Amino acid sequence: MLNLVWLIPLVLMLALLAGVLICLFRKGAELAHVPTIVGLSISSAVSLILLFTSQGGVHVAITEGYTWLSLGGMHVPITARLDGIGLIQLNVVTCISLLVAVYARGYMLGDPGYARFFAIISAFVFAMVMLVLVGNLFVLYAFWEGVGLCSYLLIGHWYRRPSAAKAAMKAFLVNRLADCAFLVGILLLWHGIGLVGAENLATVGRLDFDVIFDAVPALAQRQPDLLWWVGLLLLIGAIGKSAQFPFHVWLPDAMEGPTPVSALIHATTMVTAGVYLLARMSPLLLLTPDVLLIAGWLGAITAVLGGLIALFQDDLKRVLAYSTVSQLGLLFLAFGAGVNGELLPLAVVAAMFHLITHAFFKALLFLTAGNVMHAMGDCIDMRKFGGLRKVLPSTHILFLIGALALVGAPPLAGFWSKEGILGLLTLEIGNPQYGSVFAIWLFMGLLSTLLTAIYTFRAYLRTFWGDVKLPAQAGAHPHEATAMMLAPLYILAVGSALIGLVIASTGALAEFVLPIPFLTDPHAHPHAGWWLVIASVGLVMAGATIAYYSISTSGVAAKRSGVPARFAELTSNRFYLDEVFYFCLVAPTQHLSKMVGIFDSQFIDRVIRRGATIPSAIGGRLRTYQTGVLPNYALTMALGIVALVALAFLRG
Amino acid sequence: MIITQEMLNNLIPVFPALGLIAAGCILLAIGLFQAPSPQAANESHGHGWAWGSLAVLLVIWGSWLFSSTQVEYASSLFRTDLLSRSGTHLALLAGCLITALTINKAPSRHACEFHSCLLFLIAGLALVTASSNLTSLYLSLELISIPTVLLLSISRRDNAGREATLKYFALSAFSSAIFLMGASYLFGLAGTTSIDGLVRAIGANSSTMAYIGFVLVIAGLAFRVTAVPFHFYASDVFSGSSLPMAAMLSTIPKIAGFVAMIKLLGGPTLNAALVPVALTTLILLALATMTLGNCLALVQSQCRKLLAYSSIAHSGYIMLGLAALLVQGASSRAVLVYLAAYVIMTIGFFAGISTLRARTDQDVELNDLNGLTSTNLWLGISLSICVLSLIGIPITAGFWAKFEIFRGLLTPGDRLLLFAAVFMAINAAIGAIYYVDILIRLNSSTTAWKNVSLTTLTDKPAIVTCVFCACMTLVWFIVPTWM
Repeated sequence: MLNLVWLIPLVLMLALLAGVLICLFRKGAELAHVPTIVGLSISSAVSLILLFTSQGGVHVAITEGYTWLSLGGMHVPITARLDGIGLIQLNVVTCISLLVAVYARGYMLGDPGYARFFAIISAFVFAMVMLVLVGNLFVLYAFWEGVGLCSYLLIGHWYRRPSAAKAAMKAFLVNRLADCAFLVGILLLWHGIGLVGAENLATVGRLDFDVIFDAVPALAQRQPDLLWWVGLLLLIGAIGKSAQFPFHVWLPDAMEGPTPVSALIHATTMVTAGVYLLARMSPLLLLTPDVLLIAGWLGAITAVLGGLIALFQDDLKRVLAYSTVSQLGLLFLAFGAGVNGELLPLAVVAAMFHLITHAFFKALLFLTAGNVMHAMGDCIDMRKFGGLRKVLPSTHILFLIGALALVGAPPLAGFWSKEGILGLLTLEIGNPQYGSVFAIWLFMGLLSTLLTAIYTFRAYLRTFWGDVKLPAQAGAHPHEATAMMLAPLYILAVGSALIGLVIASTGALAEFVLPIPFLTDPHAHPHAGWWLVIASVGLVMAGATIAYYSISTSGVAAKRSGVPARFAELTSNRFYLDEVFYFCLVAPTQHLSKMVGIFDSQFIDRVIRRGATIPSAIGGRLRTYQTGVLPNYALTMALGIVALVALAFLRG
Repeated sequence: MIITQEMLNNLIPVFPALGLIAAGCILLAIGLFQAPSPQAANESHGHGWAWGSLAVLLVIWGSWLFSSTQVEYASSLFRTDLLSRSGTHLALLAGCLITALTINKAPSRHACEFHSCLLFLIAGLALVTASSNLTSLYLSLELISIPTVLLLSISRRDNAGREATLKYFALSAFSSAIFLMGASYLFGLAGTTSIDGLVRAIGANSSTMAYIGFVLVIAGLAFRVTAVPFHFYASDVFSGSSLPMAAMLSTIPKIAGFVAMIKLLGGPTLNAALVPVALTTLILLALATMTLGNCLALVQSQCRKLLAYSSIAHSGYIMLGLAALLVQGASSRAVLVYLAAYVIMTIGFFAGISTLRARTDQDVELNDLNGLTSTNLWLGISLSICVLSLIGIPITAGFWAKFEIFRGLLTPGDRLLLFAAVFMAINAAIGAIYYVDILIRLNSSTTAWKNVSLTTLTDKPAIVTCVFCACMTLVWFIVPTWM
């Protein structure tokens, strides 16, 4: 039964192969979506089967796929690790990707890069699925990079557009920066495990998760500093992929890609990888509370920062992008709560919970934004349209459901999972060591709830209410999306509405997720106090009210005068963080590369070019000995033998 | 006479060869009764026989796969062991590929003879891998070279072909004589022709005479693997023969030579006193071979000559693998892996370019490759994959081949081997220059195929062979344990 899991990457790989062949031979491009959708259907069916058959006796199962390489001491098997976290993530990835792919079939219709798009989608999901499945940190890193590469290709799908090409490059480079740290962390961990007695283990086998988890307690005793660095570097890798402060700069630009890609990246396949990594490595992080503290602070800062920036964006997709940044901040904030070791299991559960619900409503929001964009002729600027509820009635309802789920209106999904995270923070507010920190985090979390409500409702009201206003690109009669595009949205909407209630009421998630080494289920589930529920619902309503007034009193744009204007300018310029990045990293690198370039062209190239002529010069010289005369050949052979025999005499 | 179980067991090591020889004889006999019709020269008759011999090869391969290969059988002349098993697989693989490649290319007047000669020489190769005796080894080697001469002469009947045949015949006879001379020294010292007994006897009595014997034997084999300075024939013979024959010449004798070298040198029983001199000999030969092959390949403008020299360079790499094997007494895996990868990528490349001209004995210029991918996608991509594999780029089998050699060289920590590894790396870089040149030509946008009369591109079997080889290089990268 468990070997069934290999079917998932297999069908995706076949889908990828089919996609590549379609692209190469330029035949049947209009059917390019078939392999991807079929592959995703099979893989989501398989992952659902695995999810439901493994209920109750959840355990860690490791199945070996095949041994890629076995050379002397080097043994590289590809293993799958099936446990609660993996299975949940697997299901989220495959199911949401399937829905997005079905949507994309309608959305991308007629695009010249249609076949390429679906081929890369297959690759993207394949890499993500493998990232989730593999049982070895080093192999995980390989697929981590694969996800990065595919995201680059997808964000730059319309590569002829300079902004898309630039955004793709930015996403890739920012990720590389973090991945660098991640790789160093992996190698450091490899070294550390060698120090505590696993040095006889094969090269890559030393990074099997089980080996890591067995080794970390000893490592924490003997090399706490090293472990701290490992934890920190892994965290940097995670915040790079998950777009946390200060690496969040790539994510909003990433919406230059086609909208389904944004939905994929924001909801399932990319940004969740960082959260997944933290959940996966939680037994290690348990021993490095300082790192979790950093994660919590970064998460809190990101949650508030993302919310603030989202307030004054005019681009609908950009609002949603910053909301992703902010929501992922909440996930990291949840991990921060694990700084108190006893809470880490609950933190993992809460983070996974919010990850699931967020996948649903964020995919829904992005795809409905895609509908808007489709109807408005690729215009996504909220200043140029409005009152669309009459034009796009279905999209309006769907967006509203997504928005309510996002802001955390009960009883939609976001409410339950957000309460889970905030409730977690209330548990230890009296803790002597971390109590004050928890209080600040709670405050920031509530603030981000308020901000979420404001920017979400602002975007909703600006897009769907008010007088009907259409941009020039929309043409005379903008039309609702096709049924093919709406069908996946209805499924997502049902999920966004109900999944929180389902998971929260059954309470099975903790049981399911928690067989993680060293993390035991404390059976004390955080019950958000009533005051917290009332407070956050109040905040949502307050946010809605503020949003309503900010729009109705000042028309579309907020009145910009005095201090609020400064603030608006600051946030709409994203706190100039992109510029800070540019001056601290990009500009120095460019200067350095210019200097290196001069050295390269003036010195290295000259030497190499001179050197490169040597072999052909030798060849030209030797050529003359190829006379074509048989006796010459025989003579040379004889001389060669004489030389060899003489050598034998000399050496003997 | 009663046939005992033991006698049958003694035949097991050689049954693929026996089957091939029997099939070859039958083909030859059929050929006698085929009226040679002079007007049939331009028709393609030989297909049926080609399919027949391909079927024979596949059947024998299949039965070899499923025969009780785990048991070791030995007679005084032949033996099954790991080397013979993988060597026979390699022989049958190369045989299948070459036969598939020649389905449309056999000279129609001599189709039967052509294919029976091919079967004979594959049988010879299978026998070489199973030989455990100098006598059987020598005879098997001759069973390869004599059909080769015949093949060369019937597959191309112009002046260049005759010149190539004669050169190959004379030099091959010369090298056989050298091999025999060395073998006679060894026999004189040891009093036995069994390879195991020989190595044991010389271990007890190491003298200069033994060195000379070994060096001569190695020199005789060095001709077959086109090692410098025994390489001169390669370029002349390659360019004077048909393309399928060039593919055959660059693989079959090479496999035979290297397997024979492993048998003589690679056994763990080799006397320690012999190792240094054998090592120096091998490394010197290897370094000279790869450098010369690469430098000369760099200045060629004709595909066939380029491949001749690049195959010389590859021999150099494999000889280094052999040297590494000598030092650590390890398994012969590195050499066999390289040979396997080499066989598929080289035959794949030859198969690809052999489709480019109507007649297989026409010269294919490097310019002819320009823009092939845009003309014929399958062919262009397959050729590109084969070239990538020849460079040794990951995602292809050629990567594992070079990787195994480097690993073998670096594992013992020997200074001499380290030096050789560095030298090989430099050579691989030189090799990459002309391979990348081919790659650029293949995928460039300016095509040489505006003038379509040059191309036939209808030779389906050859294209299929090329695509198959390209797929195999990719599959072997993913599943290296199959090599």
